[in-house]
Amino acid sequence: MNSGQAPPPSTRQFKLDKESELRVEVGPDGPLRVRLLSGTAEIFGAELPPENWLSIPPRLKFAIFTWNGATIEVDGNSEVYVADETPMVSYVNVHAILHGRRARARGAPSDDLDSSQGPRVIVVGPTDSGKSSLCRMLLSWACKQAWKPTFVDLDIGQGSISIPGCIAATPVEMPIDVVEGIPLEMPIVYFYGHTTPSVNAELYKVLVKELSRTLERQFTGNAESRAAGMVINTMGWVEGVGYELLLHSIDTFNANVVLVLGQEKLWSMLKDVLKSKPNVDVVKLHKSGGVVTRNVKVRQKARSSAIREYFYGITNDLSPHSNIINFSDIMVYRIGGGPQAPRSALPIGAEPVADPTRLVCVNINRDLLHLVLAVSYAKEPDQIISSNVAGFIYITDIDIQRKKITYLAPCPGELPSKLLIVGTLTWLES
Amino acid sequence: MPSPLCLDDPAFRFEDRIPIGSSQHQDPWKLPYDVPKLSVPLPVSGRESLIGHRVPEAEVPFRRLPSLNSDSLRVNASTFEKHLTERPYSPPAPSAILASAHKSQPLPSHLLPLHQKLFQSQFDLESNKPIVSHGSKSSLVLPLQQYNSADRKVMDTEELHRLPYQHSGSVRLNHPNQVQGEAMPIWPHESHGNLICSAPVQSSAHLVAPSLNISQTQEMGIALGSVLPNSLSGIPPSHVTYKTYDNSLQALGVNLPPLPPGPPPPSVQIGPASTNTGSNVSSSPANAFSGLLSSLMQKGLISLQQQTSSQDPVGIEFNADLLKVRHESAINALYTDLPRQCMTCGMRFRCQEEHGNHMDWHVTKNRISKNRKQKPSRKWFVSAKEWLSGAETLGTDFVPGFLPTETVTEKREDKELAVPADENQNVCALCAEPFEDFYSDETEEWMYKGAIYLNAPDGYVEGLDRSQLGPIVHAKCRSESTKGYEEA
Repeated sequence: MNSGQAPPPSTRQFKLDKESELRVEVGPDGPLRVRLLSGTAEIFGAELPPENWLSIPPRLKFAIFTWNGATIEVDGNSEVYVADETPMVSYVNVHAILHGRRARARGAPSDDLDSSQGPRVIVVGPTDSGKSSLCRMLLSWACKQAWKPTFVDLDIGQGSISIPGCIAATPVEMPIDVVEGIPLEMPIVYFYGHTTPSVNAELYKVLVKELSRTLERQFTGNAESRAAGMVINTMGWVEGVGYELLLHSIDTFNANVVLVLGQEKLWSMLKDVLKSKPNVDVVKLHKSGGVVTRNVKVRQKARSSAIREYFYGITNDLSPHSNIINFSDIMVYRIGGGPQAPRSALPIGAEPVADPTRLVCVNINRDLLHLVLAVSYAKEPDQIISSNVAGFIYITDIDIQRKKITYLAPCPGELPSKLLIVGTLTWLES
Repeated sequence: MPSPLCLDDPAFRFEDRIPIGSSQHQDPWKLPYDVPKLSVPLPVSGRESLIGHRVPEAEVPFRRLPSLNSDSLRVNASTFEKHLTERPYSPPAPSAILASAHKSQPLPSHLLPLHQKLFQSQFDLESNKPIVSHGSKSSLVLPLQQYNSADRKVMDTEELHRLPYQHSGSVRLNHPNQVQGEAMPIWPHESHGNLICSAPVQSSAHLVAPSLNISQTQEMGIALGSVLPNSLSGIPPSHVTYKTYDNSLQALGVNLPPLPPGPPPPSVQIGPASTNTGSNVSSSPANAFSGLLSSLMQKGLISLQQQTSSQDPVGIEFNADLLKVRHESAINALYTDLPRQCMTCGMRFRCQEEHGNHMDWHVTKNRISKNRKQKPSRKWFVSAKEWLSGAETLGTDFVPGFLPTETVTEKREDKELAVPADENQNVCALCAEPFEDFYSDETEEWMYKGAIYLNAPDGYVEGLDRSQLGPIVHAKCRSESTKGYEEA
C-alpha cells in the first residue's frame, strides 16, 4: 500500500476506490492520526479537510468513506481495513430525498404547519445496526446543505446526547465532528435515570411525550427549524415492550419517515402497522458491514465513558468542579418505583399498582454514593417529571455525621436547582 | 502526493474560478482556466513517480496514472481518464474537465432515445468503432489494439511520456481523413490496466451528449461520462480516452505530459470510473457517435438512458430500486455544488460570505482557547424556556462551540484582510508604503496582507472588474482617511 518515498514506519497509506471505505478501530494505547492526502473523503458525513492531520482518541471506531476515491494516511496503532461494500449510496439517496422534502417544506406557506413541516425521520433497528451512525450522516449531510435539523436521541442505553439514561434533543447546524460528536451547547435533556426502559416503561413514555411537546413548540415558532425537520435515534430494543415503545415514539413525534436498519422482520411489522398512515414511509435499509457488535461489557464501558466525557470532555479538555453541600441544601427524588405493596397486603383480586410516575422523596444516605443525579429545572417537586434537566452531578462522598455531600459538577458555582432526580445510574470514576 | 496543481479534487480548488458550462453544477464543468499558471513541472522518473509536465499554453493538465507496481493496484479499482484532444471551436483558454463517470448530464434534446439494457461485461466492439470500454472485470474492448500486461509494463513510462506527442499528432491530424471507421491512433498507456482507446472521430455535426448507461452489474446504473462540452464551446472532433484501473492514482494528482502548444486548445476530461460502473464514452461528433451507439445497442451491449437535468433526480419519494442507484446529483450536492472549503476543518460552503463567517468563527474559537488560562468547564444545559427562545434565534447569533458566553466581538483585524498581489502596484496608494505579501493557502496565490481595494473595503469583490475596484490600499490607511470605515 505504501507508495512514494518511504514514509515513517508508523504511517500507512491507503488508496480507497470510489465508494469504498477505510474502517478504523483506534487502539487502546493512544490516539491515531489520519489525514486525507488526495481525493475527498468523509467520516459519517463530515468531510475531511485536505492534508490536515486529525487526531482520533483511543478506542473510537469509525469509517472513512469516499465517493470518488481518496488516499488516506494513517499514523498510529490501529486495526484498519478497506471495505468496498457499503450501503452508503442508499443512505445518501435517503438524504437527497429528505433534502427535497425540506426544500418543499421551506417553500410552503409558513402558516401552514403541515406542509411547512420538513421530514421527521426516525431511525429504528436492533442494537448494533448502525442507527446512530446513520443519524450522524443524515445530520451532517443536512448541515452541509445549510439545514439545521433537530437531532432527537431516544436511546437511553447508548445515546449520543449528554449521558446514558436520558432522552434529549439538540439542533445541529454543523457537520458532526468525528471526535467531538454531537455538539452539546444547546441540548434539551430529560432524565429517565436508567439504562433500560423496562425499569419504568411508563416513565419513558411520559418523558418522550414531554420532549415531543417541547419540540412541537419550537417547530411552531421557528419555520427554519420546522422545515429542516428531525432525525430521531431510537433504542435497539425492538421486541416486546421495546417494540411497543418504538410505536409510541413514532406516533408521539409524528414521524413520517421510518428508516428500518438491518431487520426485515421489523420492517414488515412496521410497514404493516403503519399502512393506515399513508403519509408515513417505512423504508428498509441495509446495515453497514462496518458496524461492530458490542457485548454487554463493551456497552457498559461505553456508558461509563459517556459519563466521564460529560464531566471531563472526550479528550480531557474540560474541568469539572468538586463541591460540598449540606443535606438540607438539596432534595432528592426518585420517580416511580418505590416500595410496591405486596400482593398479600392488597384486597383479594386487586393487582398491585404502583404509579410509575409517582414522585418519591429519597432519604439522603450512603446509598447515593457513586450515583449520577440529575439537576431538575422544576420549580416545585410535582413538576419534576415534566421538566428538563440542567445537567448532572456525581456523588463522590456522603458524610452522614456532618450531613455533608461531596459531589462533582460540570462547572463551578451553585447548583441551578435544589431538586435532584436519582435513578439507577452509577459511575465509578476510574 | 499533492502537487501544487491539485487536480484530485478540483471541486474546491478551482471551481470558484471556473465558469460553469452548464446550469448544472457538475463535475465535468470544473474547468481550471488557470491551469497553466498552476501547473508545475514534476520530475518524471520511472515508476512511482508522478508525471507532470508544464504545458506551455494549451496545457492539458490531467492526472496520469503513475506507473505503479501492479501489485499495489486494487483489482477492482478503476479510473479512467479521457481527454478530448481538440476542440476547434473552443475558447482559447485551455480547459480541463474533470468528469466522474457517474454523472447526470443535461442532455441535448436531440439525444437518441434509448432503452435501457444492462451492459454485460464483455465488450465486443467492432474494431474500428470509436469506443471506449473497460471495466476491470470485463475484458476490454479495444478497437484497435490491446496490449497485454507485459507489454504495458514495458511501455509504461515510455508511453506515458511519449503520449502527449502522439497525442498532439492526433490533434493535428484532425482533419477530414479521420473519418469514422478508420483506424485511429491509440495510445496505450496505462500502468496496469486494460485500456481504452477511442479513435478520434471527426464530424461537423452537433455534439451528441447522451449518457451511456453501461453497467456490468446491477449495482449501479452507470451513466457514462459522455461529457458534452457546452455546445457553445464547439465540437471536439477527436478524442482519446484513457482508462486506468487504479483510482487512487488519480488522487495523486499527476499531470500529464504536455501537449505541444498548438492553436486549438485541447481540453481534457478526466474522470474516475469505478469498476463496476463500467465505462466511459466521451463525446464525439454526432454521426460517428450515433453510429457507435446504434451498433452497441444492436448488440445489446449498452443502453442509453436519458438523464434528466433535474437537480434532484432522486425525487422526493422513496423507491426501493432507485435507492440503490448512485445519483450523481446527490453527491455533487455535498461536494462540487459547495465549491469553497475550509482547509482547516473540511466544511464546505456555497459562497464567499458563508466561508468568511466560518473562518471568523475559527478565529474566534482559536482566540478564546488561546486566551484561556485553564480548561473550560461544561455549562449547565439551558432551561426549556431558554432553549425555546434560543432555538428560535438559532442561526442568527448562535455560535457553535463553547462560545455563547464568551463570544469575542472584536473587529476583524487588518491582517486578516488581504487582496491578491498586483505586480503593477506594490505600495499603498494612500501611504506609499510597500505591501507585505504572503502566500495564501486558501486562495492559492500571493496576497497583500492587510490590504483592501479602495472601492471595495468590505472585501466583496465578486462581480466587480479589477478596474472598478480602485487602487490597493492598506486597510488601516483607508480607515484613517475615511471617518467611518466599518466592517461588512
